[in-house]
Amino acid sequence: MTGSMSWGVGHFLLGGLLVAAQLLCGNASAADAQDVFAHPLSPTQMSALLGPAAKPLAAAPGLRGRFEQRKTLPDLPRPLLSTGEFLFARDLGVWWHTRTPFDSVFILTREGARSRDEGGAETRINADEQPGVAVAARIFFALFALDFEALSKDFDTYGVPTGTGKSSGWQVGLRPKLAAMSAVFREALIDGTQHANRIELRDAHGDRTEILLPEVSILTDGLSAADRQRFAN
Amino acid sequence: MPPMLRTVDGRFRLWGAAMLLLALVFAIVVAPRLRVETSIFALLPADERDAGAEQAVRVYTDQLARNSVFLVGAGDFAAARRAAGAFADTLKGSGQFSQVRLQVDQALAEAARADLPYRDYLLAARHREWLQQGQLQRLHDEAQRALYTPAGFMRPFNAAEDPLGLLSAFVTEQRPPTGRARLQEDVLALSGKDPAGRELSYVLVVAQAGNSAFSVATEEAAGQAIAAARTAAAAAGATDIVGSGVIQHAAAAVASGKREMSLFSGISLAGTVLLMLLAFRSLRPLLLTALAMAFGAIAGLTACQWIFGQVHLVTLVFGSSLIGTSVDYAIFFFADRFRQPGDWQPVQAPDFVTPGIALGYLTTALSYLALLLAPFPGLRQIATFSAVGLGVACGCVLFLLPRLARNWPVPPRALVLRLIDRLAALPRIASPRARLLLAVAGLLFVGGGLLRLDFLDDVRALQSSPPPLIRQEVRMRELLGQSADRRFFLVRGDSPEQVLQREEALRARLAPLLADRRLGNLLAVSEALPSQQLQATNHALLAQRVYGSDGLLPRLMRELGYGEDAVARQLASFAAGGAPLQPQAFFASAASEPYRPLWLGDVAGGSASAVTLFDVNDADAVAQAAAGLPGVRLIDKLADISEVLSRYRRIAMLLIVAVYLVTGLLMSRRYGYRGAAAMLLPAFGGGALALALLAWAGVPINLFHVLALLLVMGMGSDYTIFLRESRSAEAPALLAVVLATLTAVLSFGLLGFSSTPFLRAIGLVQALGVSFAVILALLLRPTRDSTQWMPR
Repeated sequence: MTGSMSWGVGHFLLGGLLVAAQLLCGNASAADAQDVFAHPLSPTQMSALLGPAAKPLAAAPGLRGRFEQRKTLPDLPRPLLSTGEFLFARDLGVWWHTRTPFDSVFILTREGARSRDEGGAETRINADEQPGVAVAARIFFALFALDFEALSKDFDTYGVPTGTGKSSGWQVGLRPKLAAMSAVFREALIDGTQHANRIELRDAHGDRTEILLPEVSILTDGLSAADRQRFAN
Repeated sequence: MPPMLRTVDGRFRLWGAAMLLLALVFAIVVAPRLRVETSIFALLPADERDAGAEQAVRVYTDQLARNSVFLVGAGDFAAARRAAGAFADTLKGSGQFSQVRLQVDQALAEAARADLPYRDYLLAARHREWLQQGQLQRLHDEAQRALYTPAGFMRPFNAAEDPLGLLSAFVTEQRPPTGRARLQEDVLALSGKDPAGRELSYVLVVAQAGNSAFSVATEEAAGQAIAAARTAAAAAGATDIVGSGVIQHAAAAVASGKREMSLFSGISLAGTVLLMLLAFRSLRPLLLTALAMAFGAIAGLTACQWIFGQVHLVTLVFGSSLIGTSVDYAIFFFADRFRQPGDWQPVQAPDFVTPGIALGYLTTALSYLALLLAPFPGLRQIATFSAVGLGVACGCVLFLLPRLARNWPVPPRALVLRLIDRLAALPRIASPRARLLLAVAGLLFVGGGLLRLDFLDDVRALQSSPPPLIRQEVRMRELLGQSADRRFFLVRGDSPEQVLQREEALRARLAPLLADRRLGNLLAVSEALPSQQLQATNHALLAQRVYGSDGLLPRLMRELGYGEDAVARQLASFAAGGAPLQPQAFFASAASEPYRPLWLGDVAGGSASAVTLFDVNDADAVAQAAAGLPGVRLIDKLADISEVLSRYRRIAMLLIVAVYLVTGLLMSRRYGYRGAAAMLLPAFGGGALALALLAWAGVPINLFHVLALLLVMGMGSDYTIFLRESRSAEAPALLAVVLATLTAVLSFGLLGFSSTPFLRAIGLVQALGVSFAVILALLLRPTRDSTQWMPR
């Protein structure tokens, strides 16, 4: 019955995976990306890998931080760079504000996805019209809730610890189970210590998107009114 | 008259030979090929004005009818998924369904990518507009946004395949209505409430029947497969299964039709046998009557098969009521015995009973034949079956029975003799004052009733489904959250290309309605398969604005930092061409799945497609959209048929008057004008009283009630004719009439219990009308010694 589905499920769930990763405090270290897909883990093992601090953070009402996105395309000599800030609200959705190279806001909620440029141009996709958007929101919220059980339904999960001692961390790998989603990205890697520091998406054609998260803070007291306003229509 | 026909023997031989021939023809030619039609659509009047559209609509309806949709529900998604799997597997295993779709994941993935080879010919409407108006900056900004922000992640194609996101926009612009069902794991699922109000997870299973939904074999086999699948799903944990689809309704209709046919025939036969045994106390009359009825039935079936090529189930159900009517002629024949109980010569009977029986049959046949004028195939079949069947039964009574019957020595039962005496003593309203009183009372009742008369020309009079099935349809609509409107646009053209172009013109007209929600959504093939004309336009625009050496793409690529060789490669791949998307390739790909039922292919000398509508909020505006577009027509079968029902109801009322007049004229040749009028009065009065009674009871009247009045005239006048014609003593004639009335009322009264509303209508009016007519005839009969109404 459906003729098209959301294409960004995977890419955007990364933002949520980032939430799942906000557990530990520590230094970042990158593990060997090739290894992780040799180590499948069950959901409980995933929770264990990410550490005992994962649980309290699961209840966090929100997160904010900065991001640096680097997109490498085949034939493209230099990667495309964008930077900006983001805000996750458990009950509302995700707000992604790109500042460079141009100003644009992207918002994903259970009702749909929309984006707004500084010029005012706005596009909107309702979850009703594009079933895939609803899928994206669902998966994202499962991530936010650190629901590896829900994630494991849509992804094959892998993980390895990385580093040692004070710089110990982890690397998580995800591969979509659904054919429809693997058309979007073939696999995803997340590196983190206390929180996710680096997310890498690879698709079937050689496109690579790398998102670095230099600063992340947890909003233990909930969202301010101004923050809530960001999600308003 | 030829000598052969003058003698009883001669007629016997001639008719006997004819009957044997008929039996042979039936056994050898007709019976093996007898086709019983069960589709409701065969009852509907064909579109007289546009045969091509009619054919196209039937193809579409047939295609739609093959689809069944099921929601398998359980407390949690995992259980629902398991149960749905069991359900789907059982359906697949039955072999009745050419396609059972549960897992959609793979198909969606393929469908998404299917358009890639044709990317140089496909554009979303908004991009086409931007390119035509030179608004390249907007396209540029949109593309940039996709590359730098998460907005681009919602696209099926990556940057290398679709740098400007044009193809992605084309694919995502199509929004096949999915309702509330969402992709969950690899199936489509939704959550909803079961009848008890519990929140369940439902998984969607769509099945398509391999054969036409309207063949009895398919319906029965498919119905069994579905029942088996439900059992399997329940065993696997399903707590609620909702199904919708024409097959289930058709199967239910067949089952109830068969049930009714056997039930009604059985009861009619039993009642008739009982009455005849009681009255005549001998087996031979019964057997001979059965013979006449059998030949009548065979003749009716043969005539229908020959003229229509099939017999509708509804005709058979109605035919079961003829049992009570065809027995009348035999009763009249055997009642002649009472004229000379000890010394009755059957071969002499025709002299006494023929005028009555023959004239009676003629009036009845006339009234049935008037039904031929209504454009309803179901009614025409009933008319043919009845007129021919009764005619042959009548012939058997007149030509076979005189030779085959024997007087029987068993004296009539004392009970019967007492009854005869009672009947002779029945009051009659003879004095003019009494008659006037009766007339006034009758007029008041009838007049009052007619004032309250309520007309309802509803197409549901033709067929109604059992309430449980209807409830399932309603629940399915609620759970899925969307409903396709019954109205749709039929688009016809000389070629597939012309059809697609016309669809595009229609969609342009409907676009403003979609924008302000006067129309919720539509589904059209041209959304996913643009016409060649449009694809050529798209290609030209891309060549001009995007892929030129100074077009948008090279500019963007250089901005992003691509080298010249990368740019050159992209331009070269466009220039190398590719071919536009052709209908054959489209319908063979996974992307066409939602659109396949809409494509009607080669129909009526051209091509045709359907455009489905969802959530029609402004029906007039939608209907207006087709105005002036050649080949495009809004089809609203419900309104069309209701209009036909209403139109013919009015015609039927005139028809009744006309038939009464003609019958009156025919009868006046024998009875004079006053005589004819007096003989038609009971039938007329009976019909009027029946109608008034229904009106007082608040029953709305439709075409079929009115047509039944015709039949009341035919049968009611039968009895008055026989009363007048019988030269026997009055009481035996009365007995015969009472017996005949009882059998007729029994048969038609049974029809009043049919599940088919229009059969109910006919049965009810017939039973009531004939009862009243006979009562009136009895009350108003002249005294035997009166010579007023004797035939000339």
